[in-house]
Amino acid sequence: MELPSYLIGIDTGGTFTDVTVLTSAGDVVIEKAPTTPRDFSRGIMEALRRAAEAVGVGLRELLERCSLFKHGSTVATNALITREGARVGLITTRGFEDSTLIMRAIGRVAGLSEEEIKHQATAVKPEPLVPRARIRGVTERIDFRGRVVIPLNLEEARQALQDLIEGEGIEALAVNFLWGFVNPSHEQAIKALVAREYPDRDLFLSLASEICPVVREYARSNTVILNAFLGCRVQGYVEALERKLRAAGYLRPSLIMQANGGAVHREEMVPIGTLGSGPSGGMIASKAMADALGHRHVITTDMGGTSFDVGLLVDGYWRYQRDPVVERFHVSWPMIDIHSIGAGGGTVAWIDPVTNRLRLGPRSAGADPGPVCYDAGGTEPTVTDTDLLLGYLDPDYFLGGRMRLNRARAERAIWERIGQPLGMDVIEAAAGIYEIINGHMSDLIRKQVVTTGALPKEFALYTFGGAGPVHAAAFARDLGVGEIYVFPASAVFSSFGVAAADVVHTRTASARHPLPTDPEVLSQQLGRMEEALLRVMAREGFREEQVSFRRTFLMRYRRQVNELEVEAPTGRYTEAEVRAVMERFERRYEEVYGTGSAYRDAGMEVISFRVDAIGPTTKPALKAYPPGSPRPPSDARKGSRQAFFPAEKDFCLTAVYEYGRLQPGNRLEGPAIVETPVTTVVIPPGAETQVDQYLNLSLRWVG
Amino acid sequence: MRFHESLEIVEVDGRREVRCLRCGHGLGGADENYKRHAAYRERPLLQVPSRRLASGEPPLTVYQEFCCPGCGTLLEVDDLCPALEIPESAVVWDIRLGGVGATDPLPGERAEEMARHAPSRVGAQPSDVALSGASRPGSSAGRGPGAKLDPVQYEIFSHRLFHLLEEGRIAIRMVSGSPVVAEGGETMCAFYREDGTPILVAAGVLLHCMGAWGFIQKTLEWYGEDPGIHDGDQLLFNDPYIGGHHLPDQVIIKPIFYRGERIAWTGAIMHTPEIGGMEPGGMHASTTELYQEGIKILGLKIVEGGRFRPDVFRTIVEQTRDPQLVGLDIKARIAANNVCARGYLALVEKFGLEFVRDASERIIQDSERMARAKLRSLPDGTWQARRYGDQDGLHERPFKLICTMIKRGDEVLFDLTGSSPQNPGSVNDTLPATWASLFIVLASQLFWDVPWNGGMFAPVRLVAPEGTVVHCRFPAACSTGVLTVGDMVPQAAHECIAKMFYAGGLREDVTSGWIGGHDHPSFGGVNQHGNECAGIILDTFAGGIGATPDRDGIHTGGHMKNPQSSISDVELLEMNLPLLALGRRQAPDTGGFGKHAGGMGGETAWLVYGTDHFRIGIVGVGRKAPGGKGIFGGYGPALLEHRLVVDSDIREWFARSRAPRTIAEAGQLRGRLIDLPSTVAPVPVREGDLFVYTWCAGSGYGDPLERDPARVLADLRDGVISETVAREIYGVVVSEGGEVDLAATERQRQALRQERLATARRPAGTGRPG
Repeated sequence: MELPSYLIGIDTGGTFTDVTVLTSAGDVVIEKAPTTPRDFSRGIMEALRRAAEAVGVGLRELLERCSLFKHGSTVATNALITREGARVGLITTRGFEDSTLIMRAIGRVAGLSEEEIKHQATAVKPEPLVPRARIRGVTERIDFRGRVVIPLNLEEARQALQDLIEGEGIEALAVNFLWGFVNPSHEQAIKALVAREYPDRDLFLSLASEICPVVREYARSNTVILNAFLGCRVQGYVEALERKLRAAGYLRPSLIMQANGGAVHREEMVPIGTLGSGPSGGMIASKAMADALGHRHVITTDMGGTSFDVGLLVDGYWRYQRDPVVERFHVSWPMIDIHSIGAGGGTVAWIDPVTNRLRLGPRSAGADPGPVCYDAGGTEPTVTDTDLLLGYLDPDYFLGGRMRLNRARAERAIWERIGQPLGMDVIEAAAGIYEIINGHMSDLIRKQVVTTGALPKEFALYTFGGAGPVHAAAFARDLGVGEIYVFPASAVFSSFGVAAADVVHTRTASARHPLPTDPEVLSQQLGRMEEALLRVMAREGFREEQVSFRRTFLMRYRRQVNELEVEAPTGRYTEAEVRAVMERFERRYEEVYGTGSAYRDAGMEVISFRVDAIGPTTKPALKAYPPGSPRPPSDARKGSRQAFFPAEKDFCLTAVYEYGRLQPGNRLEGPAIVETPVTTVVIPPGAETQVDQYLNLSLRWVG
Repeated sequence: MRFHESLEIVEVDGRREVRCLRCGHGLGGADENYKRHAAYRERPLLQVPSRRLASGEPPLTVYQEFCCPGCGTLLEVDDLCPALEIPESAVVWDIRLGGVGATDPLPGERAEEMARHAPSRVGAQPSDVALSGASRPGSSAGRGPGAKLDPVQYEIFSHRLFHLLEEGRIAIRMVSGSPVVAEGGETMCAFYREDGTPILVAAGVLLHCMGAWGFIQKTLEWYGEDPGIHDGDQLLFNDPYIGGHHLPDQVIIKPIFYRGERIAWTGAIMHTPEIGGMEPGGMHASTTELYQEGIKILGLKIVEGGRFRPDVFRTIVEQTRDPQLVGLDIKARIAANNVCARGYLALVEKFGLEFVRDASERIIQDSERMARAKLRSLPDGTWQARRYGDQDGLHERPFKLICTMIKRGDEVLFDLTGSSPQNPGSVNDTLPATWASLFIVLASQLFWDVPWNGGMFAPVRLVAPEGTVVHCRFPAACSTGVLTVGDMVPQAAHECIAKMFYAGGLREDVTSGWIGGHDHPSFGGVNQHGNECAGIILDTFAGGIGATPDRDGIHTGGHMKNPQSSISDVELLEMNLPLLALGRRQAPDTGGFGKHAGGMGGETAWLVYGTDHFRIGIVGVGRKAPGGKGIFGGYGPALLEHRLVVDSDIREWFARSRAPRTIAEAGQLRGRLIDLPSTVAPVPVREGDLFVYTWCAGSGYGDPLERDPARVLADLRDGVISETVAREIYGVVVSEGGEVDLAATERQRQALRQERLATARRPAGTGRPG
């Protein structure tokens, strides 16, 4: 019998480090350990130890037989939030030293919530990552065609380097010249100067023409600055981890998750790419599931304690942010598009004293003091308190029984703060809070779905996060979504995604072409990008025939400023392919904005290209179990309790099941509740749920 | 009671008196103008470091500095235009706290005017009508706030309604060709009752929240019977005498029908930067009548019964210089209206028509309640502010704006009586434009936390006498009003509101003057690709923001009229314009001085590059009179400048590895130097010509001599201020070693205070508020 091999995926979150082990037999083993921010590798090794135990082998055996180790981490996000990164200097075109301080003015509100933006008197710009003192302008100027208008002044460049390296003691240097991505010669000259004059400094260099060769200088500057800021921290983390892994038995290279949805080797990693790798893990997991289940459009939702995150898969693929913002800074880096609102288990319900309106959030009780029922000092009723009151949560089984919830206290808080002032009984009030928060969530989802041109009923909805499955059926019904899915690995979805990730490298290029155009021009543009990608993929260990490409055009009608993404065919182009792309754009445009919104007379153009090179990694297929009886085994049933359903306007006796003991093929009719130690799935009357061959729960409305 | 950074009102033997907080010196009774008791001097701007124009021309105004006669603390810096003021009117009486209860009537002489100038001109007063229970056209008679609305359903409905409007705005931004829209965020979508009252408005640029109100009313009045208003219609309007600020503000309104009955309206408005008329770009520097400013459409059906009207469309777009751009924007509005109307009907299907009507009413009433509650929480009183513009559209001639704000109980009146007669050029606001301008400061400052709709206006009254710059008579030109008078109105109102906030203890919400004069460069001609182009450059949106009682203003933070102000990357502009930027920076010494300093403005230098057929002009104010004003001793921003150097030797500079990037450096070029006024029609330029201009900064808060010397040193090191300003304005002395010499600084500051008192006199006149 062949020895088992393992694929390991690690996701280091803010609180927990999650690990998913996929065995060659198709089993999925999940474990977690607390995250150790001072040295992330410690928490990872602990999580691996627990996972090995769960698999039933020693840590060394697990690692020696691990064929691929991938990890995503918040080390970059952490460094950004705590501002604990490298000491960075910036060299840029003289005359534009203030570009990252002016922040195009939009930096004053980028990354703020709607409430914060409206309170204009108090919205302020963030502390710059590179202060004035560490910015130097060098006389040079290149135009939009790449022509040199003013040659690079080498003496000024030398002086700038001296000021920054010796005077300011920088550890990392970011370089961005206007139009430098069209003509990189000036940026390359700086790089050469550093190599010649400071060869022993081990300076981390981040050149815009190498990292993010796209138009729009402000976001580009932020990108190279962030990359330099994070560089040492991320590299240090990766090196520490690899050392420990080697010592513990894993001798192969490890892969690191990037925000574009792929994993890459350390040598090919760009530090800024590790920002946002957590949410991308969730999206990859969703995509792997969607591909396995045959879902073309998916709404993924993650409802935790404080926030509700929505990401879409359209035509089987996630979308990228149109105008990516990281924390408070615009960047030119492909970031998966995920939208958040403050709607979670800890969101507070309150009455506005002036208008007597029943409001939800945006304030959250967080984890401390937390919901009233946590008995930790919270006095304001939250969504979790209402979920408890409505009977969805079992006060004795929260977190597997590790924490008792105080129902009486929650009831009192809801009555005193909401029910009594509004003249409603306490259950009415709780039901109202439930409905309002669901309305907020479905509004956010609808706003995202609207931009795709597809209808909600064409989407399946995946729900993860602790609070998600309590609410999903309700807000999904409101939206008109047909199917809802809950996964056994929901709690550690991100690490599952990491384990399933392919190697992906992305290149973007800003180049304007009116369409229709000579197909050869487009073929050459794309060909150049793909050749460069193939070189990188070769270093990753992929032969040309193993690599697949995904091409995306950013297009718009000429004269318009915003653009739409359109997937473009691969291979060499003839006029037919060009026409196909144009038709696809037109169709999508009218789908989204209605007839008459397309102004063809203005002409069409593509303004930028993105190519993803995908190198598939080995993943064992998810184990599919043969379907069994629709009747759940008797030990899966835990009893019943009263749960309130707004549609019925009353409590119903509701059967309660343990997820881990359900079998594939089992069918449950609503009202029903399915529990795990970390989440609860609510199935209302009129819905039914089924356990599929992968042990997922799918929920459908019947009748 | 503390009503000023350096002054308070104390009870002395039953009398309320004004006292200096620093030294206890009395400045008269609480019902007097404290400035009458202040040490006063007038300072020409030329004598103030960094406040002179590079050309050496004298400004039209001087600073009026009012100090405490006891300790020399600077209390207020006003602007004075000697050409427009006589001694009796020279001194603004800027604060008089009410001390009266909410039941006292507003000043008698105002009541009659208020009735005439109440917002009933642009819409019914929702509060009057709703509270009295009277029926409105198209509504269910007798139904009023008595009907109980399910609070849960109401909450869900309100949230959904707002999101719907955001979807509409997204639609506009995607379809439009206008950088003003996509980059500047200047779009508005709204829902209106059958009679045109706004139910809820979502807007990027706050000017447009009044938006379609007037147009809907006119449609009902003019076309209700003939040709009638039908399902599937969309009507196009642009008329600043009805709504919007000037002809480029086009609105398309769409009636929403449900089962054959008209139940609501939706509307989309935004600024399309080309509308025909004498000059390209929609804002004409040389017009004298509305007829010259472009085409005017009064309710043509661009979509009729669901069918797009190509004849109407073609006729409109072909009258402009940029039919493609104008066409895209028309399509954008149509798309937004479709999205919003569809969504509204879905709500009616889900919640039922009666509920939607009642909930819409309640949304309006809630806003009114919140607005009134906010006003009640603030002290009663009268505040006054004065601003000067520096050109009338045709000449560099000053004009004046006065804003007197009277707050009693839960109502507030803005009285613009005393403002100059309307200008002969296009520097005018119509009455709807003045309302729109006022809205900027209501939505962004006074009622920032109130959902925007008709209810928000209920407690607000406006008095704008006909024939003045704030209420010009048809057919006066008004295309540049939005960047001139339209910026001065919110500035002046904002000063009053900020001071009211301060007196009410809302310290966090107090800001000094935001970016005022707003000089937009405008252009037209052939670009480097051989295509015609025309428009405006929006850098100047990134103006400085005013300082607060606790911190400096934000540098290049944005304009009050757009909460999400955004300027373009230089590279995006260079892609399609025959321009090459040589520099874009935050400009030192521009921020208003103060204990807390105003945010810096900026400076951009452009080379004309790739064309010999191009024209550049400017629209705005702020060059010969400051485009902003500080509070409580803070100063206003630097004067704006714009320089053109034609036939220059710039290529020789490049060869020597140098480039001119500032106003000062432009003056060092060989060639023909032209200092452009605040507003000028586009001037022909060619390859190699240089164009440099500055953008407005924010204003300061409090006496500069009270600024923490460590902050002054940091500003000096960061290039925010010059050495001269550090020493002569802030009184900070820096030692050889580059540190603050505290003892010398204290001496210098004392000397400066003495100088204030030594050169002071008593101010003439009192300047009565109200």
